Amino acid sequence: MLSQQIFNGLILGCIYALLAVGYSLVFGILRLLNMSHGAVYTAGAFMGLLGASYLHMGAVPTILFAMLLTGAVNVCINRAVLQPLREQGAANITMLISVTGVSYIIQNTLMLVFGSQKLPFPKVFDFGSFRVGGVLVTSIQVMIVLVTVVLLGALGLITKHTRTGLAMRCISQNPKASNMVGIDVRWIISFTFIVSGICAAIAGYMVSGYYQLVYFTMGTTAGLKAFAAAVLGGIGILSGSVVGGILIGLCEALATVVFGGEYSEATAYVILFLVLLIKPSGLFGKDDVDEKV
Amino acid sequence: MKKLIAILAAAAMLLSLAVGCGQKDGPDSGKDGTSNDPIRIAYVGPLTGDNAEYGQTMSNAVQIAVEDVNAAGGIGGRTFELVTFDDKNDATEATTVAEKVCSDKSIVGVIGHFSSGVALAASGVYQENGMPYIAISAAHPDLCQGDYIFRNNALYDTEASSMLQTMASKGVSKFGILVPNSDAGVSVTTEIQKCLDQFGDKYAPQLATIQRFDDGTTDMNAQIQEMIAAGCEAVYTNAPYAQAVPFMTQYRTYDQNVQFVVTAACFSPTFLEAAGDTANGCVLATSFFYGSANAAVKAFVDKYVKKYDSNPSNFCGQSYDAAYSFFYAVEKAGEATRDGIRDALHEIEFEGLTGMMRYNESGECLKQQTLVGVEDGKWVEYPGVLLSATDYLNSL
Repeated sequence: MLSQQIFNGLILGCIYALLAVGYSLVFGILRLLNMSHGAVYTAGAFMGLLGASYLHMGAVPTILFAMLLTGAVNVCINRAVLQPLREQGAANITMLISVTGVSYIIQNTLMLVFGSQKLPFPKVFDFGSFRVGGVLVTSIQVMIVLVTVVLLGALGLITKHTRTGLAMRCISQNPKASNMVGIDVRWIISFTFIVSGICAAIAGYMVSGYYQLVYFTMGTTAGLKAFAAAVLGGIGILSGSVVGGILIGLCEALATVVFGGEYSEATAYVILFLVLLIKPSGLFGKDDVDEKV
Repeated sequence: MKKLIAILAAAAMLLSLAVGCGQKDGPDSGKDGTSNDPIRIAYVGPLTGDNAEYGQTMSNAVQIAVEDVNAAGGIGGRTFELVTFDDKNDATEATTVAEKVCSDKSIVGVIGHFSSGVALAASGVYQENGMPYIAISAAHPDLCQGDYIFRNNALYDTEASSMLQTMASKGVSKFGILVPNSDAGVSVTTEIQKCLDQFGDKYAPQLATIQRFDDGTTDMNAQIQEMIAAGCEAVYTNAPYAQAVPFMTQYRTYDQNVQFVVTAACFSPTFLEAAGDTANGCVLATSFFYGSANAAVKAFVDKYVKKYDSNPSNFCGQSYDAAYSFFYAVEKAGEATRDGIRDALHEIEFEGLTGMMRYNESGECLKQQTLVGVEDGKWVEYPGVLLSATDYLNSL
C-alpha cells in the first residue's frame, strides 16, 4: 500500500513540476514572480475542454489547440501588460501586482464564458491499467510521466543547446548587454512566455483528463503549490523545479498516510515556509538571495 | 490616449458598480405593504462561485412557487414577488446581504443560504432583526437557535441514520467514510458516531476508517489507499459532486466492487454526466425524488423541466415547500408582517413536495428520506428501504 501511495505522490509531483517550470522559466529571465501562471493553467484546461467537448477534436489536436491558444494568452499578458511596464522602468512589485490582477481577469473571463459550475471533462488516454509489483498504474498516469519527461527534456535541450536558449540565459544574466550584442530581447521574452504557456496548457489538459473536472478556480491552489515547488527547488532553475514538484507531491501523499487527509493540503505551504526560513535560495539555488524574490 | 484609457476605465468601473447594485436594490416603496403591492420574499444563495449551480436551481424552484401561487390568484387577493440576492456561499458576504435584506421593509421572509457555516452566520442577523428565515439545505444541528429561524431539510442526524441504514441494507461488514475537513464534515462524523453508539452491538456493519480532505482537493488517491487498506466494502461521502466524482472515479481504478453511498448534494444531472459509468450502483437518501408518482411532484417537475430544461434536485423540492410555507403563513396570519408570519409558521400544516410540512417548536420541519440510486445512468427510487431515525432504532 505504501508503494502505491509513493507512486501516486510521484504522479501528483509530475503535475506540480510541469507547472513549476512555468514559474521558473519566467523568473529565470525576468526576475518576476508570474502570479498569473495558475490562471493561465486554468485557461489551458478550459481550452482543452473547448477542443475536446465543444469542438469534438481528438486528443492530439486538442492538446495542440490548447497549447496554441494558451501560449497566445501568455504572450498577450506579456505584450499588453508587462512590456509597457518594463519599458517605463516600473518596479518589480508593480509588475507582481499587475500579474496578480491579470490572474483575476483571466479567471473571471473564464467564469463569464463557461459559467461558474464545475464542468465534466472527457477521459483522455484511457487504455486500462496494469500492475507492477503490487502498484496499480493507469494509462493516464503513464502519459503524465511520459509527457513530463519529454517536455522537461525538451526544455533542457532548448535552454542548454540552442541559440535561443543561449540568448535566454544571456538575458537572465544581463538584459542590457544582451541587447547590445544584438539579441532580440523582446522576442526572447515573448518566446519564454509562449513556452511557459505551453507548459501550463499541457499541465491543465493532463490534470483535467486525470480528475475529469474543470472549474474556473482550479488554478488557485495548484498555482500556489507549484510556486512552493519552484521555490523549494530554487526558483529560476528548471531542474530544481522538477525536483521541487516531485518532492511536494510525495510529501502530500505521505502526509495523508501519516497525519491524515486534512493535513495534506497544508504540506506544500509548510515546506514553502521552511525553505524560506532555512534556505531561501532553494535546494539548487545559488546563495544570491537578495537579488531574487 | 492615456486620458481616453483612464476615462474608459473609470466608466467601466462605474458600470460594474451599477450592475452590481442593479439586481439587489429593490424599490423601497410600500414600506409596510399597502394592500395592492405584491408581498416580497427574498431568496439569498450562491448565484455565482463554486456552488452557483446549487444556488441557481434553488432560486428557480422558489420562482416557480411564486408563479404558481400568483397564477392561483395569490393569497387573500395579494400576489407575491421574489427578489434574489447573491451571497457567493461566503459567510462574510452573507451577513452583509442579510443586513441589506432586513433593512428593506418590504421584504417579509427569506429563503436560502447553501452551506451550514454561511447559514449560521446569516441567521444571527435575521434573528436580531426579526426576519423569518427558512433554511433549505443547511444541516448543522445548531442552526435553529432563534424563534425567527426555521428549516426545511434533513439534519445531520437524519442523514447519519439513513446512511447507516443503507449500509446495513447492503449487507456490508466494513465501510469507510470520507468527509470534508469543515463544519459539515465534523458534524456528520459526530452524528454517525452518536448513532453507532446508540445502535450498539445490534448493528452489524463496522466503521473501518474515517478519512478527511480539504476543500478544493481533487486528488483523493492517498485517502483511497487508506480505505482499501482498512478493507472497506462500501464507502460513504458527503462531499459535493465536485469532490465526490473524482473520489469515485479514482476509487474505481483500484476496486471494481466497492459500493458508493453519497448524499443529496450529488443528486444532480451534472453528477451523472461527470461520473459516467462510475455512478451506476451508487445510492443516496433524499427527501424529494423527481421521478415520484405523486401528482403534485409530477406537476412541479413538468413545470421545472419545461422552464429550465433539467430535472429539479432535492434542494429544489425543499425550496418550493419553503416558499409555500410563507404563502400559507401569510394566509393564516391574515397579514404580511414579519412577526405575523413567524407566529403563523408554527401553526401551518400542509402536504408538500417533500412530505408533510409541519414546523415543530424549535422551527424544524423533520424530513422522511427515501433511498434513490443510479441504474444505467438514471436515478431510480427504492421505496421502503429507509425508516425514520427513531423507527429504525426501535426496530433493531
